[in-house]
Amino acid sequence: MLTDITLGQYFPGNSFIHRLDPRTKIISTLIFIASIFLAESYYSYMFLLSFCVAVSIASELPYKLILRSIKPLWILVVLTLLIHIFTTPGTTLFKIGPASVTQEGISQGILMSLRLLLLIVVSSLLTYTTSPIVLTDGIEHLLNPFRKIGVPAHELAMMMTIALRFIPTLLEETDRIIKAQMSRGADFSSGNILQRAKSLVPLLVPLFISAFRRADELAVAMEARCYRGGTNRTRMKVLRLAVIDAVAFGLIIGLVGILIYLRWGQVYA
Amino acid sequence: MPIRSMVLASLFAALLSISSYIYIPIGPVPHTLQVFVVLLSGLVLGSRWGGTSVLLWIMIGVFGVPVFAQGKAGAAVLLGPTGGFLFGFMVCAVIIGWITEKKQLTFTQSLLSMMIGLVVIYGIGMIGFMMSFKYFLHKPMTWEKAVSLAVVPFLPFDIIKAVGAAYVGVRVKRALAKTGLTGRSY
Repeated sequence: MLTDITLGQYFPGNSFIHRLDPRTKIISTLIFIASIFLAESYYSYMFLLSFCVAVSIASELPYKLILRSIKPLWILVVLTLLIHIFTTPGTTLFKIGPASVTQEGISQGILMSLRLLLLIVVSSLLTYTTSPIVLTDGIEHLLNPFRKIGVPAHELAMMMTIALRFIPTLLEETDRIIKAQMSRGADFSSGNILQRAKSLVPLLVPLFISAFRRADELAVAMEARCYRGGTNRTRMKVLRLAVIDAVAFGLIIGLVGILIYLRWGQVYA
Repeated sequence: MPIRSMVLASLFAALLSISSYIYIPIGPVPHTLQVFVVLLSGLVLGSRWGGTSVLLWIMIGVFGVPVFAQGKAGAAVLLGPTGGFLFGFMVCAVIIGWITEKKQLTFTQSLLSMMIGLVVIYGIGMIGFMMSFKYFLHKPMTWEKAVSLAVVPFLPFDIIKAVGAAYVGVRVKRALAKTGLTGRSY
C-alpha cells in the first residue's frame, strides 16, 4: 500500500553543484524556470537544454536518478505532446483515422513537452543536490528580507524542518498500524465504497492519536530547551557565499542574456 | 508564536503528505485522503494554523519532496492542471477555520462549513484548471469538459470524506481542547 518515499531525494556528493550555497541554487532554479517561459524558438530551447544537461553532468549524479525524477510526471509530458500533435491547426502531414497530424502540431508539441521536462529536471536537480535541512536553511535566509512585512521566516523554515522530519516517522507508523490491523483481520481492499471508507477508521484513529502524542512530546521538548523562535538565535552552520556562487550566478545571467537576445534582440539587428 | 500550534501545524503538514499515499482504489482514479486531512486541518487547527499547515505541505512539495498525489513533486505541479486545487486546499482550510473557530462546535455546523470548503476547493481548482490549459499547456478547454474531467469523478467521494472529516473533526477538536494541546497559548 505504501511505496517507499525517498525523503528530499537528496543524493550526497561533493560536486560543483553540491558545494553551491543553497540560496544560489534556489535563486538560480527560480531564474531558470522563469527563463523557460522566455524561450520561444528552437534555438533558445537548445540553449536551455544544453544548460540543463551541463548542470546535470556537473552535478555528477547517476543519470538513472535524473530519469527517475521524470517518472511520476511522464504521463503529463506524453499527454501534452499528443494533445498538441493532434489538435494544432496547420499544414496536414498525414491522417490517423479522423485525427490529422500537422507540422505545426509536432513542433509545438515537442517544444511544450520539452518545457515541462526541463521544469521537472531542474527542480529535481535542486533537491537531489541539496539536503532538506540545508534547503530549508536557504529558504529561511531568502525569506528574511520579508520579515519586515510580517513573514515569519524562521518559524516557517522551522516548521518545514519539523514536517520533513516527521514524514518518514509517520509513514513508518502508518505502515506498522496497517500491518497490526491486518493481523487482527482488518480488510483494506474489498467491499463497496462505504465499507472501504469505513475500513480506514481503524487506521486513521491510531495514526492521528500517535501524531498528536508526538506533537505534544516535541512541544514539551522544545519548551524545555527554551526555544522561542528566531530572534537572537545563532546557528551552528553559517551560510557564506563563495567564489563558486559568483560563477554560478554569472552563468545563469549569461543564459538569460542569450535568451533575451534570441527573443527580442534580433528584431533590431 | 505559540510552540504547540507551530508543532501541531507541522505535524498536520506531515499527515497531509502521508495522506497522498493512503488511498481507496476505486475505478481508474485513486481517491486519496488529502481532502479529508485538509478539511480536518481547518476544523481542528483554526484558520491561521490550518492554512499554515497546508501552505507548509505545498512548500515541501514545490521544493521537490514527493508529497503530492501519486508521488508528484516540484514547481511543475503548481502550473499543471491540478495546481489550482492545491491553492484551493489552502484557502479552504483558512475559510473552514474562520467559520468554525469561534464557536462551540456541533456536527451540523462543521459539516456545513466543510461543504462551503468543498465549494471553495472546486471553485479555485477549476479556475486553476482552466488557466493551466490556457496559459501553460496552451490548449483549448471547455468548462463542460473540465467539469466532466475534474469534478464529476471526484465530488461524490469528496462529500463522503467531508462527512467523515466532520464526524472525526468534532471529536478530535474536543479531545484536543481537553488535553490542552490547542486553545491554550504560551
